[in-house]
Amino acid sequence: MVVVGGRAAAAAGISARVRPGLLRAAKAAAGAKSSSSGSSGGAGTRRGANQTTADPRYEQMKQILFYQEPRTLPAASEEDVERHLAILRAEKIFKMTASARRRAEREARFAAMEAAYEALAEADPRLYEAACKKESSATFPRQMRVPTETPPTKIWDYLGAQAQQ
Amino acid sequence: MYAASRFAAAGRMLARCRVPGRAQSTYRAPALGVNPAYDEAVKIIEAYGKQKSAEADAAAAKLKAARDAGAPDEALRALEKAWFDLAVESRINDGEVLWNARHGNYDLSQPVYQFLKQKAWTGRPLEVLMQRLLQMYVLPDMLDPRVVGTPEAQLNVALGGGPAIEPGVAVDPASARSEPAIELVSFNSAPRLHTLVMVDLDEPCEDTQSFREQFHWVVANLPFCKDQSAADMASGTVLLPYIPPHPAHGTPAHRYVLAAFEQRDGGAARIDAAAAVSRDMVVRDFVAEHGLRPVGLSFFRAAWNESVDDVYRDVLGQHAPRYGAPEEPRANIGPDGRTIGRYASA
Repeated sequence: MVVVGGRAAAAAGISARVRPGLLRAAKAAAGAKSSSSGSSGGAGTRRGANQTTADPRYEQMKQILFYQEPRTLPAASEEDVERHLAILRAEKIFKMTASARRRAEREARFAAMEAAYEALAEADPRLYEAACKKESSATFPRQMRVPTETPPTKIWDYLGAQAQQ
Repeated sequence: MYAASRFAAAGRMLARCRVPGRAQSTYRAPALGVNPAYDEAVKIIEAYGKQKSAEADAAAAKLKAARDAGAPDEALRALEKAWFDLAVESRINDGEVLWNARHGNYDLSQPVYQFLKQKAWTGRPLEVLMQRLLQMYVLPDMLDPRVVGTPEAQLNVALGGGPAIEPGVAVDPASARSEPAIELVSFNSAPRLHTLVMVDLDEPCEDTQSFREQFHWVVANLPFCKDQSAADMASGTVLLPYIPPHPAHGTPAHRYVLAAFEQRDGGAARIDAAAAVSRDMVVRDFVAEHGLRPVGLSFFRAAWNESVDDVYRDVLGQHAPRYGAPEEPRANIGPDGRTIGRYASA
């Protein structure tokens, strides 16, 4: 690792306030043979015919692109492909049923809220108006809270008998 | 270039793994105990199938009750559709069903195979058929494309004992010397009567110096349903016996269209054997006269070759015509029959 400190800069006869990139270039020009793993980050520079401080990652990239065999999928028989397709179908079924169940729960919860509001309207109009009133100048809803262990996450089973399936 | 697509790689690997020799004729389920995810997948698929099957049975019971109670047709159709969809859904994820469908082994008594066969038809063959029909102007030359809409059945025409032709393909007229084998893949539960018509759309007409339609084959009262797709000529009424294609020398390639029409009253009405049919009819008039509804179409193209002269001689009993531009009289021959020099004065 190249440590460009004030002393090294002074040794190179360059002010320490110069950008690190220029200092590195100056060091290369001064004939310092840094190892290929020396430079970190930044573009490679070519100074003179025999002195190249190229970024080693370019060489790595060329090796991977042009000289290495590309990775292939693992060999799979027709049976394996059938198994793979069956797994994809099962995943689709699983996701479909899970999302349908969540939707049913949502709709049941909303229907329960609507029924509760209607019952309240019939029972006591004053309380109903108060319940419908939206809190003005409220930045956070009162219902928003950090998840806690008690009470439990599942307060009420809205689906009931449907959930047996 | 090194980022080969996943599917191409899968295809190559599959090709490498294919065992040479006879193709598998029956389905073999993949072995359990190899891939735990697959074992779980099988359980999920089976449970889902059982659930949908139970729902389908309930829907079938509802349909039966509605039918017995005499519900209106629309309600019955809706209930039947609901039952059909559930029956399809209960088996559509089955590996064996999908394997059979991929290999053309359809058991059309089951809703799931009817659905898969319909999907196979509308996937690509229907697109190709419609493209060819419109591209080569079969529609609207023969029928109004708005009336035809989307053909609901697949008409397979096999010339000269070969496989079914692709619509619009150019063939050797010799291959159509004998009646083609016709197959109409429809999904009706009960047999319905159809009329099969073969028309040449490009017969030259000297009177109008243009082209006209000419009938080659008319067979009425052919029953087709999902269990019977091959045309049974014995049970049909031949109104015009088959005349092989005879595209005359000097005419451009002719389009020979085969069309299957459902007869009146949802395929219940019969067409009398004495119905007037001539070669000079027009398809639109014939269809209007008998109240026919187009359900299946296909066509091929043929141009003249030496075999066509044989058809003129043997079948039609005519001299094979030679069409072409009228012979212009040469302008540089004088009254004495000698050529007039180019630079001679009058």
